[in-house]
Amino acid sequence: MADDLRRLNETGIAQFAEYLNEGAIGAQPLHLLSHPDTSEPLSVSIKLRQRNYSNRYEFGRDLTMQLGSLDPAKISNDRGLWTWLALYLFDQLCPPGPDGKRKLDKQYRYILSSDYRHYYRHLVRTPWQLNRDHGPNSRFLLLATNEGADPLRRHGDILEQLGGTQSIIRSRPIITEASRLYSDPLSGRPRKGAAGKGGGSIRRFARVLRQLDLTFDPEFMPPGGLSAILPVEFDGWKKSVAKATLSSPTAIVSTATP
Amino acid sequence: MNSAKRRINSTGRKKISQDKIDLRILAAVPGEPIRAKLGLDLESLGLPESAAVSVEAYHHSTAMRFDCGSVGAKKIPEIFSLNELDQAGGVLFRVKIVDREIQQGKILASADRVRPSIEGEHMGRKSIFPVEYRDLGQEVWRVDIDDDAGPFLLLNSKIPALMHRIHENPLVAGALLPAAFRIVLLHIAYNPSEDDEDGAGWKADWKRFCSEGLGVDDDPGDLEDDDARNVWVTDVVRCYCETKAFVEKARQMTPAEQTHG
Repeated sequence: MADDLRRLNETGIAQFAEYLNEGAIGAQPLHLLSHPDTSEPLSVSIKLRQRNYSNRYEFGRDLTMQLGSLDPAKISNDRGLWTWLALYLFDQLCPPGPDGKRKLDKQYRYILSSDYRHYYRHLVRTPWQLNRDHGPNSRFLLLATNEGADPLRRHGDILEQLGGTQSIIRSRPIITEASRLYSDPLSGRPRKGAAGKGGGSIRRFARVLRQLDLTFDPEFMPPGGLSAILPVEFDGWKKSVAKATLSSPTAIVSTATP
Repeated sequence: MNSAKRRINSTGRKKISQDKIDLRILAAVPGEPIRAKLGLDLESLGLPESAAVSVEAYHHSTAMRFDCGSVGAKKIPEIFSLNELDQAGGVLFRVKIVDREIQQGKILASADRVRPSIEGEHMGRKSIFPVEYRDLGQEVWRVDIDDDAGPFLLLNSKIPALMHRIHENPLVAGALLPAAFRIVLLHIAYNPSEDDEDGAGWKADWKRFCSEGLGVDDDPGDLEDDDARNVWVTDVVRCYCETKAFVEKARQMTPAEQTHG
């Protein structure tokens, strides 16, 4: 059965927050989704079908398609919409365990925060935003190194390292280069060691970018231009990309094509 | 001792001076994002016509970028709608001119940390404590201090004519302004280092105001311990209140003015 996508109003958000504050015990308050006192319709009618997603990349891609008729600039900070979706998908974002109890995360994972330190950590908006901005290059940001249970609730280390700086996470050339360096060409998952603290890690990548920001603008660089000016500590990652290209050229092409 | 962040200009980047940039934040509309307007004069800088003009607005780690055409054919949006920026503080801008021919992506000229003027602020007179209107929920006012941008006094945009009430009613002004000043002064007292290498940053402006405007000569960078810092802050706030004579003016108000002003 298809459900009408709506947005929670302030009362609906407050009642969902109350449910979370009380530990998300018992059935989730799904009545908030459609009751006129707690939610309101969108200007465009969108029908949603509940489905189980196998990972966050697939989730983001599906959201991008389903929300395609809405103006991205208008919905980007629509707290009511993203919070409605989090409640709608709550069983996948925060599934109940065998004992029926949910392992609840911070509230900003479910209710879109207006605080710049937290809003990119929302479990629904972020997969949509990354997929919309970067297409297949968002895979290494959204997928975990290994498959695991409850994939929609996992917000990885790499995303945490890059997501906090908007000029990095919104930049196509930067994320394209990071995806090339740090993705496994076959699976699209982050490569081992990418999220570490050593030389050439994603953490260092973000720091070096902030230094280069004073003298170069990656948005106007030719393909490969950013890679060319990265310091020597990234050579190991660059070499392994070249090696992977030689051994599996088709895989690289499929990863790098948006 | 004061220290400064040194910035090495290894690529020969030109500096776009502030007088070439007319940036203003437009009057706040409740429920709407911050909006800005930009005028840019690049005539005298000798930059290639083909170089790209790019403008970034930022606050904390949130940022928005606007591509504004080229030096020879500028396409500056009429209004910058800053909807993806953290709305709870003062906004800074960066203007960049980027090479698109010889070394693609190299920044040829830039103006960093450009603080916009606020609509209604007098031209050529920049406040050391600019006022901006934001949706602050149920908070009436807030001080936002960004190490780059300096302090902003944020007033709740949902309260009509709040700045007018502060100007007209010494009781409102006396309850709000010294408390807001104290927050900024405490920040300076405990973090006196100047971020700007030539000592022209916002802290220098505040220190000048304290010494020349209020007659408190101590440099907060020379204060030795927390007691001395707190005394300095208290002295400055006291001198500020004396200059403004909040209590004297409040005593002269009629009871009706005190209630409704």
